[in-house]
Amino acid sequence: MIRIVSSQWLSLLFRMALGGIFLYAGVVKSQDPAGFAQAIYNYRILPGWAINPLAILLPWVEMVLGAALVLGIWIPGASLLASGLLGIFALALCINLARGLDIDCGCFSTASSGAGSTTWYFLRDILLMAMAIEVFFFDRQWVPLVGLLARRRN
Amino acid sequence: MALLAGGDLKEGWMRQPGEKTRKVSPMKDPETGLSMRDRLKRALIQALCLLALGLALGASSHEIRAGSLPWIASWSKEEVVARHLEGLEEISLQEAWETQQAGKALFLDARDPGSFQAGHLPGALSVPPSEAEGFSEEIRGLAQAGMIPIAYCDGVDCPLSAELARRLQEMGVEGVRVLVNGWSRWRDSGYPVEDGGS
Repeated sequence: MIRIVSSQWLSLLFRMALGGIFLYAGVVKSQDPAGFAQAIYNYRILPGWAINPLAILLPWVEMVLGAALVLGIWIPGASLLASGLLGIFALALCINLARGLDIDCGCFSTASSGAGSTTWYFLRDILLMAMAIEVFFFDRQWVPLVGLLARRRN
Repeated sequence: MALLAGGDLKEGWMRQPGEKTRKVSPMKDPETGLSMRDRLKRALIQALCLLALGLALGASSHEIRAGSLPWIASWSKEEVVARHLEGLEEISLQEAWETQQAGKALFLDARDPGSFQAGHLPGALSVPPSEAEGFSEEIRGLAQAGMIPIAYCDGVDCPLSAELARRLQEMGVEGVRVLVNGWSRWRDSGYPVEDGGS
């Protein structure tokens, strides 16, 4: 079990998957900042003045992070930042789960399905965070861009 | 602990010939030789640099892109509702009730199917915005036959009804109106509601 968890192949797989997810999420959000701002508003956590700056800036942080993970640049930092972002996201989901808020529409739903989707997002987030932590501890920088460039120079 | 180090480090106290007893750190990286503390410190600096790069790129791209989101906007409920209703026609609760009494209301419930099952306006169709396309033909036909499509959801600033109305408009359905905070206001006014169905 320990061998599987610390396997370099698994780390590589997790890193590529996480990088791809962050890249995709960042590109999609950057195309529709107004829609993303509405999604942030739906969480009902941040004050109004913080919503637009976050909607404008966060997609680019995600894209930089995703690119770093896929290309193998600063993997410890990228996986730490990914864990941090996913941790904050998990906390926000947890708060809304406790409040019974459906984050799809920002409404306090009496039906269970609204909380159901929040639960699903929370579980998915925890899984991604576990992947980021695994990458932080066990990635041995397989196929890193920096390594390839250094080898070419030699 | 060896699990965290990712190598086959031995935990515990070691003594080399002629050397004082020292503790081998189980958290040391076997390849870089860095302790966990140093690894964390390095990772933190890298993370902050990546964060700064992302923020700088985001701010620059926002300056370059014309007509994008303003840095600061009001997110008061009134402003949010006004933004949702831009280009759409609202219907008052009284008018919605009269339309329903005249048998001309086609209520479109934009909430999730679970909320719809728990209770909805009389004769409503469950049409979450993501499923608008599948219903557009049916709704267009009923609208052409004289029915008035009225989209609603729950909560003053709930975006789903406006989103549904906008999607239907884009699909060529004319005369779609939005009943703001429809479910709560209708129910709280004591008007009849239904449960179940799909």
